[in-house]
Amino acid sequence: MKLFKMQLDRKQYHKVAVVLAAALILAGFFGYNTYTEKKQYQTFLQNSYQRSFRELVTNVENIKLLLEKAEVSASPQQSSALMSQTWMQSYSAAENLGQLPITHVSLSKTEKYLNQVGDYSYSLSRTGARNKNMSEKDMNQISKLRAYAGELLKELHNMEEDVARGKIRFGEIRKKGRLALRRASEDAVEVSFGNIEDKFSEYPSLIYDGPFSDNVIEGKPKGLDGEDVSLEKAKEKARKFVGEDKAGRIIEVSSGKGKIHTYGLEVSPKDKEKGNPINIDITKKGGYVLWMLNPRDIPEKKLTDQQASDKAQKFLKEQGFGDLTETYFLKNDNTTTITFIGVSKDGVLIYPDLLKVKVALDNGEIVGFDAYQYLMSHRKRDIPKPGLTEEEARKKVSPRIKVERVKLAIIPMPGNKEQLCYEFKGKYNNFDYFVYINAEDGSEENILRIIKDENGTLTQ
Amino acid sequence: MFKKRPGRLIPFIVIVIIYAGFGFWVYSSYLTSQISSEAGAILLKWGSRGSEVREVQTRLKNWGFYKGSVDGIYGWRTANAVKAFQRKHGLKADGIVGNATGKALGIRTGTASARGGTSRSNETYTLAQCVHGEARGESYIGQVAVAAVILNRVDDPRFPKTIAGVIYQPGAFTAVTDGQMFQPPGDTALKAARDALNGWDPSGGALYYYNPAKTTNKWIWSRPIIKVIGKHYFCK
Repeated sequence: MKLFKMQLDRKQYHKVAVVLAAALILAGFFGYNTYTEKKQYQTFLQNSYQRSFRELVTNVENIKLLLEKAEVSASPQQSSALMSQTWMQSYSAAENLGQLPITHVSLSKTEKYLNQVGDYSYSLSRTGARNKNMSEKDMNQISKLRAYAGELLKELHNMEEDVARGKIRFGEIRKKGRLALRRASEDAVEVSFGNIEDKFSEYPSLIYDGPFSDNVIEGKPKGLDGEDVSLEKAKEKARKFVGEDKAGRIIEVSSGKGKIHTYGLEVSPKDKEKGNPINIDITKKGGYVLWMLNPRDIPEKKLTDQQASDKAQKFLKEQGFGDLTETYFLKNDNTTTITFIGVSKDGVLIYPDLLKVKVALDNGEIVGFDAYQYLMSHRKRDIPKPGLTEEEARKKVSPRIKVERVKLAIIPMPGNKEQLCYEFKGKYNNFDYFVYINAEDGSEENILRIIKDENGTLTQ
Repeated sequence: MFKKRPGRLIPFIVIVIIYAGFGFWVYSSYLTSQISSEAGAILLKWGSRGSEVREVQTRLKNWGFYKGSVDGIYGWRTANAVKAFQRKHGLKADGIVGNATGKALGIRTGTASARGGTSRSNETYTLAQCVHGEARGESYIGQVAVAAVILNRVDDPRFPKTIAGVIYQPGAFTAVTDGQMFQPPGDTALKAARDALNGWDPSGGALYYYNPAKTTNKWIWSRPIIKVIGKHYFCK
């Protein structure tokens, strides 16, 4: 209030008033400008949300129609075509759903439904392509999925009407989220999607040959045997793994309760100067090392690829892993990550038993280890005799590929399955390919292309 | 006293309105600039936080441009110091540490670390950006775990099926919602992203994580916790 105690005469007062009025107009102009700009952004967002929503509705309409047709189709070729179209439509539907500004909680079941329909129809399209008709069980599952598509569509049409009448605006969620960075849960869109989710509450678990099949998601480790081990035993194991000379104090930082239960240990290096703690997870059952990471800085590269590979193999032998063979490697940050797979006594490659070892290229120290896939799938296997001879299988490989090498291999198949195949390594157009021919019925199960550069080999 | 001269109250009100209006304008244009800033083009600016800001502040302080505390928060003091530095070195005095200013300060610019050489460099970079925005304060293992959660989502039917789809799903990650992700990731985040892509998963197969000190979401609290790393709870 001190300001106003200064006495102003009339003239000065007018001057001040003019200046302030000008400032006010200016501020008003800025305000209006900002407002229109904000409006434009909002409209832009609205439009892209609307587009995703409308496309989603179209996709679900198509899914329903395609499944209805599949129910009455009697030819494998026709069902295969219908199923691949369903696959495409559900993929696109899931994509569009993922772009809507709705919390994950209220649409996770819908998303799961769409992804499973896509995955399932893809696996069925493969069945059809083999000239096989759908089984009775598949037909029943299709009918169920079609019924859910109908329910979903009904709710989506209701929503569409609300959107058209302006009762629901997608942009509103963003508006609330902006200021408080909190997600509005009682929003109209959320409520509508909540209704859909309720309809999916009795959605059955689907079992088929695909990566999203429920038995794959809830898969149990097959490679864990033995008694549960104590924390002391686990620490001992970790000490041996890291090396008696390097390991200092070991503490438990966090136990893991995922698919594989673990003791999460942190190993301080004996020589404190020598860097960071090493993290290592030991399985409770059997006391296996699940993974290990040593995040130390690796300033230079001294080892050759061969030396790194020798170090990794020596390490695995020391740790008691027998019968493994090196496949791919990848270099970055002055390390090499080498992938090993199992190999049977007769030389059959076992791709599902997969291990990774990371070697530091400055001194050959093992700075990373990952046995998750190995522990999930490794077990004693009875490998069947191939039904086809190598010559018979070779005839199934494209004549364009110049075959250089043949081996027998067990490869992972969709749906947690495995298949004995002939692995043909060959060249076409200067690229290396792996072609897998089913050793029982001769069908071509998979094709991998190999990418090779100075940083490693990868498959596509 | 006001009853005698009611006119004197008007300039006071006008000033308040103008200040408020101006404040809103600055704030909203700041928000707008946050949205429209392109990924990778700007290194650090007003509102940035983190170890890189600390590095800038330390250097500016050593050379006498910056008087404030080294707190890792890019406020107006830092911006002014950067402007002074830019003027002295003949750079455009915009108060933003871009590639040129970063070079003059002797700070490694983020875009340089984007070269990967592998076929997955695009995915690695996006993943690393999200990890950097979400968990740069966490330990190395904590960062690998966050990257692993994103990859676990890609493999789960309840989520979008690409890395970009998962990261940009509306509302899925705070760092994406508030634009913090649009900073070049540090080397640690890139390394963590690569380890996660190579298969390491310290989270034990988690699909969600949260910081219990910051989360009010009731639903997330109801999820079974499968691993605790640093400040983050990981759950299924």
